Amino acid sequence: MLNLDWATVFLAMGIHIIMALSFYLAYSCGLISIAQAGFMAIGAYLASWMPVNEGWEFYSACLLGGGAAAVVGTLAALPALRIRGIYLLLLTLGLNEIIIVFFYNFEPTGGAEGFYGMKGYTQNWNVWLLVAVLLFFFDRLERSRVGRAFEAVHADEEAADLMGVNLTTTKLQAFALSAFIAGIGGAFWAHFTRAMEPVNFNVFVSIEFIIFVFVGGMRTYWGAVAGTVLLTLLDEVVLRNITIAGVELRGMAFGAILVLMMIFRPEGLLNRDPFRFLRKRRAAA
Amino acid sequence: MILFFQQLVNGLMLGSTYSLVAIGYTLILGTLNLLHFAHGEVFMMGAFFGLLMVLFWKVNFYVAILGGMLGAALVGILVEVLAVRPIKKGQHLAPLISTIGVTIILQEAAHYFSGGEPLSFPETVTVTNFDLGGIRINSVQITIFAISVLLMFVLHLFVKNTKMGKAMRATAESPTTATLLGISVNQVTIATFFIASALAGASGVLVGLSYNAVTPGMGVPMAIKGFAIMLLGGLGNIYGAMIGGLIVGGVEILSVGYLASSYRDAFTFGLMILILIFRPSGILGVSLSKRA
Repeated sequence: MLNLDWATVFLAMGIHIIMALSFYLAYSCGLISIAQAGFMAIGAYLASWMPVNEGWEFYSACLLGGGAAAVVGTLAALPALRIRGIYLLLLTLGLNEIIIVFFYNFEPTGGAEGFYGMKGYTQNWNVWLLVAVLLFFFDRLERSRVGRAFEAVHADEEAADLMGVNLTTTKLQAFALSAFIAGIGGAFWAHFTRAMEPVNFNVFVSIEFIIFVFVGGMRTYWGAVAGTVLLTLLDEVVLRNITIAGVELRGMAFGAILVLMMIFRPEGLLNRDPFRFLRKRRAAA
Repeated sequence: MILFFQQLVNGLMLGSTYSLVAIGYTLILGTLNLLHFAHGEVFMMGAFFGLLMVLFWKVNFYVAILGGMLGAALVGILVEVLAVRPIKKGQHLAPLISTIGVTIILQEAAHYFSGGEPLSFPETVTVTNFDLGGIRINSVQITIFAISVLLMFVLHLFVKNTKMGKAMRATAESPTTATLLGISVNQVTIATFFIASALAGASGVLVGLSYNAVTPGMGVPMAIKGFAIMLLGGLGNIYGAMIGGLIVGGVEILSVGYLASSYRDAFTFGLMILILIFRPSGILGVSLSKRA
């Protein structure tokens, strides 16, 4: 059919799933972060710098990048503990832009010129292996003490607090884990594109990941996966091939999809129990 | 010292245009409890409308401002009717996410129609330079400042003295009580979007004139400055937004004058984060308990 490089499409899709999951993780604890692209930038730059200039091996550089993003995420989360909703959204927006301005002005990584020379360690097998590991992790997390604490905080902070959930640790855990995943996603992304500029990590990139989650379903990690797969395929197969007077309609279509979803199905395509139809109807608990 | 005052004057002139945008944010948030993410794009559309009128109809500058205001107001109302109103009540996040979608649509549309190249105003206002004891001010700056202040004063009179202004204040206080008292929340919503968007449109034409450039990307930095100013002035407080705009404009230009200009934007974001951390209710703060 279409003349597409499917290997590349799936690779990009895998990385997008990792990023969408990173946003979902913070959101599952009620934290809206649009700094995911900024965390991604930290992971991407560190995980590219170490192998290119210091001769590090790719996977340890990935972990370092993810770790650094987690540290920044945790530091950012400290003030964020006091605020929520739109205040948090604005704070993470500011954080994302500050990270970008930093990389614009940081000469060792090329500043506005960008950074090059990555070897292309990112392959379909390691990206999708990571996706599988993450899905397993999310499955276990949902049933764990920490995951249930996230859920409780999302539902009602005061009630969770009264029930003995430690709000500070829970939110810090969520933010740090989310930034860690985003950092690793950034590392894989950098070794996939092999070239990057600060502008690749602006707020609209963060927003793209959020669109994946909000379209797919924001209350289950399967939503992040479904939204990403659906929108990436739609993007690659349909939108990139339709142009009007040489202009791609991709952005407008994404914006319109988001608006329509909010009007007609604000909870996203998938709900909490997407595979219910496979099972027998459960007794109401 | 001359340099300091020169920068301060430049900053206040620029800051007055920021105030116009920030007032829109704070009006919509205060009255409707909605963070209107696409407001920066409404500002950008206003600049384009003003520019198109100058380019195609050769109108003078003041008519262009009026055109920019009406055009932006139309965009703002369309956003409300098409992307905010249809969303079910009680979804507090959905309207915000929906306006993020609108942001992307408007930006792409502007890219599409402008071809991505920066456009500029032809010479419509003759620039005269005035010298006040070493501080140079040109007529464009004075026009910008005067128009901004005039618009803010008209807004003040409107909110204080007219029936609709009272209805808007009542809705901001409590939408439920306002409805019970017979205020049509729909009308208030439309009026709020109209006023906020018209002010943003005026600001768009003024900023387009002062930098002599209109681009599809001009909305985003302005949106972020608007957020910072809104937080600085206190959510829902239009006088806070007026003063906050002047402060941010002044300090921004001073930071460009004395520090590295490449960190200009980082300054605004840094300020925003500092306010969020230390004084989330803003300088002229309202109580936060009203809006979680």
